[in-house]
Amino acid sequence: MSRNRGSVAASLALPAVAAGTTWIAMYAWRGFTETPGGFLNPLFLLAIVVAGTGTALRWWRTPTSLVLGAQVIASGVVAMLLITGSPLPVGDGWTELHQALTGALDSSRQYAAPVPDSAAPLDPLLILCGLVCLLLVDLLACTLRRVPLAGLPLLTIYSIPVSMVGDGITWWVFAATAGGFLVMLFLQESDHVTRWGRPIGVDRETGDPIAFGAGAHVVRSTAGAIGGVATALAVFLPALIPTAGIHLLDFGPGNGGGDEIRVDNPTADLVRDLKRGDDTPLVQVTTTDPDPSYLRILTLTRFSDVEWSPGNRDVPSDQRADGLVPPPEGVGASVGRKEIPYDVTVLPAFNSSWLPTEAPISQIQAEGDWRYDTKTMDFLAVPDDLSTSGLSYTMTALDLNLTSQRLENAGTSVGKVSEAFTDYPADIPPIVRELAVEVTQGETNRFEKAVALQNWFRDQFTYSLHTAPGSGYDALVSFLSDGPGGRVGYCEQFASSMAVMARLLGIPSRVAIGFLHPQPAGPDTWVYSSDDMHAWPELYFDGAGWVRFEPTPAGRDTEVPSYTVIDNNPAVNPSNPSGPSGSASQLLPSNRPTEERPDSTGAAPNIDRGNGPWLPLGATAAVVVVAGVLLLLPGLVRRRRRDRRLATGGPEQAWAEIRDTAVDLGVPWPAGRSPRATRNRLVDHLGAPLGPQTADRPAHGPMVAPAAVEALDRLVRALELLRYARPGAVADPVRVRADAEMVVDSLAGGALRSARRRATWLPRSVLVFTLRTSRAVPPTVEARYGGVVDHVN
Amino acid sequence: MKEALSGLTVRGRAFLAAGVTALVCAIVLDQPALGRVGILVVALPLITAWVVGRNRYRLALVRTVTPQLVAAGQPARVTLSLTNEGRTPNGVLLLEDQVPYVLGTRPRFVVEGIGTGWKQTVTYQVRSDVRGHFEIGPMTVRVTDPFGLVELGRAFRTTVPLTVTPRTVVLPQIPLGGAWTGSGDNRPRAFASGSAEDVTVREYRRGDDLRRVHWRSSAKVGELMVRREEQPWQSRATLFLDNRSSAHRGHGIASSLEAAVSAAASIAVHLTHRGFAVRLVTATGEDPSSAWHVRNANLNTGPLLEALAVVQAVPQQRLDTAWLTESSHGGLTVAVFGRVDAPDLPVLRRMQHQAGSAMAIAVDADAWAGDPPGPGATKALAQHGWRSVVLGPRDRMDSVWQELGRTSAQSSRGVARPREGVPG
Repeated sequence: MSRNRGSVAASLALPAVAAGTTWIAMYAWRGFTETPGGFLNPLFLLAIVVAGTGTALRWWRTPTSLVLGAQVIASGVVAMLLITGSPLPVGDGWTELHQALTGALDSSRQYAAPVPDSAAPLDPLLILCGLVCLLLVDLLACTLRRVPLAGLPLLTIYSIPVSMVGDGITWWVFAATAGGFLVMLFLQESDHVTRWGRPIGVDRETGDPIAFGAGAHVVRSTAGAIGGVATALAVFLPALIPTAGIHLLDFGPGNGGGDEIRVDNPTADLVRDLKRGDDTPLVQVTTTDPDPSYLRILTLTRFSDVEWSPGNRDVPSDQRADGLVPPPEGVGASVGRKEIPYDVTVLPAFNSSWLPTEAPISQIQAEGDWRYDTKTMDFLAVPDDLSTSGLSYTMTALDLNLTSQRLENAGTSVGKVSEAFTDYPADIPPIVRELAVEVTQGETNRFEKAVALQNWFRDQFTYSLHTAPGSGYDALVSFLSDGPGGRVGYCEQFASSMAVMARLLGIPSRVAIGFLHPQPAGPDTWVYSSDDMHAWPELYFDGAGWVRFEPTPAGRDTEVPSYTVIDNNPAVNPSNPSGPSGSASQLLPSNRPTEERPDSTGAAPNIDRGNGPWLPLGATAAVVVVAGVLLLLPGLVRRRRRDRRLATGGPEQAWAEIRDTAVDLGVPWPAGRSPRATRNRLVDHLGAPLGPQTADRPAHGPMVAPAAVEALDRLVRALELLRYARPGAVADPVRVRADAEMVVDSLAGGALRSARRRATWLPRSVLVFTLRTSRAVPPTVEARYGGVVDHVN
Repeated sequence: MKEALSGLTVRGRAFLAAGVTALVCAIVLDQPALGRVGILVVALPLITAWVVGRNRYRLALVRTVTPQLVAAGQPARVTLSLTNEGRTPNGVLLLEDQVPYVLGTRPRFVVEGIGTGWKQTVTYQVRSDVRGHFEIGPMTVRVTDPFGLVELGRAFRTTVPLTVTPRTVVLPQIPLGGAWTGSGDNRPRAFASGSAEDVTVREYRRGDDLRRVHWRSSAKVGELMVRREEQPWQSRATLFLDNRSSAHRGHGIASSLEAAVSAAASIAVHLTHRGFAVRLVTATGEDPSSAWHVRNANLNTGPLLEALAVVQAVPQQRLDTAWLTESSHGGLTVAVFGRVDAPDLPVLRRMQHQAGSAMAIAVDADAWAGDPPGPGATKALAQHGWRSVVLGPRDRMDSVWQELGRTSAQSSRGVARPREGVPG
């Protein structure tokens, strides 16, 4: 057809890449369902339909609106077929589509990602969203030829799961999407360039070509290099971005954005507040309890490879803090309980999106949309702007009468609590497990093991706030190990370590963050201040529920819970596996219908400020390495340049090398002079060849180094012959090289020691780019015959 | 790098801004996934700028135009010879030759992946319907990257001139009045050899017969001089063109001035080929480049046509008369007039008086403005002793010239007849 149209392959390339990129980007949605193939496979087919119809219609020069309309219709019919089985959304087809979409919407509302296969599939919704994205990308990139704008739908595809699924997106999805986008950019740009210039052809009269034809492979490789480096940077650099330090965790209002609920992780602030000098009063309680303590703010349920984090919360709207709450999970009916009323006033200084409560409680009345998860029973602010600051509320705490005997008789907790409380990463260093087993050796049941762990921490460890903050396995191992600097830490380390070891021993565990002891502030009134921030583990025992332990040594003014003091009389009956009384635990399936409440801090485990000393260390090491390379680089470049020049053996190269050496050493080099004039200036700076006995301020001048002067003269002569004489005289490369080396050596020998050092480490000829040697360019034929030669560079 | 950064395109700047925004958001909101996008989008223009800034190519361009003198409507070929004397550029070079728009579209070339020493010649044609003097070039070079994020502007400096001469028509041989017109074939006579007094000399040119070397002059000048073949008193003709804007109507290519220039050019070519040394005189006086020179016909037409190519309408009211000197007395004068007003009549008289033979083409300027065809200035010209014919917008120059010849058959003071075959 017409020439401008190009080949089918060329016009198919951009739509194909666009559709492929969009499809690959949708791999980011894998986390939404348990079987991602359910929507990825139909979307692949739809991508082919969209790209195919688009290419065909554009090939026939259909108007833009028609192209889009035809694409919508064609892909819509296919999508309908895939979703409902009937091609048109009329009659039954419409009902079916409506049902499928409603089901998908319900699933998305009720289930946390990934949606299980048993629920109504999410696929129709995802297919439709993906189809819209495919159409948008194709419209922007191919029909309207605005590839950069097509990045926006791609970004949307990519960022949706960031806000919904806790885990980040795997790097290869990002890299593939970025690569596809760059290929789209490249294709559009090269197409633009091709349209810009003249088509390749031959002049009819002279046979001269009418366009400059040259290979495009250089540009392609440049594009590949640029895109590859940028993508690699984007993949690897985020680990070094200092994300921390700006947001104030739960002591700042509304850090999150959008609809998501930010689950703040207060552990880092715990350390800071404990270390902080001033003791800010934060919470005031009025209660009849003679010794109120352990006011819990939240629990950390998820142990990832680096740290404890709050994990996900399921907070349906009927779980508000406006009255009775379910009885504590897993507490047997026979456990005696006492209700204690609390009036809580949170002081303005305490700005948290989590509500401090006693644990467990039976009733709470707080203003605002505070909701709880039945599994953790901590209270979370749903609106972004809701915080505890200045809040007053009442609650009724439950004082459970737990005894060590009851706990020892606790049955297995397998299947009684959510897996979230027993999960641990598979790659926990074996030393942790070994220690846990070693410490609990000889203990017969879970409770005794837990107590042994607690006592081991209390006996063997030292409480100190002055430890290197750490996270990750290294910190865990160094904290547990008996080496220098080991077994010293603060409450959070104790709590998290014990919780980890408990999980390794098969005991469900979590870490609670809260306040330890309040100070009395009047009759029945107590004040918790920032110095009272504390962390402790809670372990689950069937029949007793979540039981608090206190591994932090007494240095923190702690005492073990009374029920963990085991009098070692053998009267107990350890061999009673069935729990006392019907276990009233309300166990819920993990995929219980809930609103999705994502955990956003989990997305950035590596970069948390207080908990990652290893990363800063790694970053420091990287910076040191980079700085070292940067320091060494000029010298290396200079040496390579010298070797290359001297290897060629040409007088021009040798002369350039001598000039660079002079520049490096700070020897003045006259600009624009002839070689001979330069030589006359240069001889004054020649010195005896460099040696171990060269002085700091060596003598220099033509008298000192006659051999070097002769070598310089020979070089100048060779250069003059090359530049001004008839072509034909060829200097002996070996001779030139030897002479150049001698002159360079002699120049260094005549320079100050400091100048020599500078020339070695920071050669000015490399650092100052204006001194770049211009290459000797062979004159063109036209220049030789007097034609006007124009240059551009 | 600095230059390349300032050469960021809108797309590059947008990428940079978007990337920085994304990075800041990623840091503030603690979203490393967003940070990834930010880094990609920031790194792309920066790396591109660095890569493009590292370009060390060096292009040499040689441009030739053949022919440099071309009649309006005729094509001229521009040959570009491009050499890369530096390293391979790592981007795309977009070359665009700055050709004046009247010469046609600007040729654009895409150059990429050219290695050191790469050389190629391309040609393109230019064609103009408008006479004039044009500079072709300079070539501009835009350096872009594969993603369209950076664009650097460069330019060569050289241009080549192209002169587009007025359209000419071959005129029929007509009797030209004048002092030396004896026969119908008004060829200048070869002068008889032997009369040393008459000898004029010129420099020796390759191919001259050695027997024609004039030794006495050669001894005096110190170079070989040869005797001239031609008459020292060769036929001289003055071609007058009235290019005052007040004398013409219309604008641009459709103006009566263009018709006058075209007529003058045809006459100039015709006269030169008949052996006249022609000088061009316009309303502003004698054009020094087309003064009477002794050259052969082909050499002589060039400067005349070049001068006519750049004749523009001048706003002055009066005709310059400085060229009406005593030395130019006699000879043939062919004039192309537009409107003639009362103040011009004395000049007409003087011109006629000085000319051996005064012929005129009176361009009916008003007809170009839409008026019905009229006699133009022929009446006034005839009153002052000119042989003249009128040239209307639809007249053919050669037939008008033929008619002028017929007019000349009458007495020089005759009155132009009403022409036949011209629709009223």
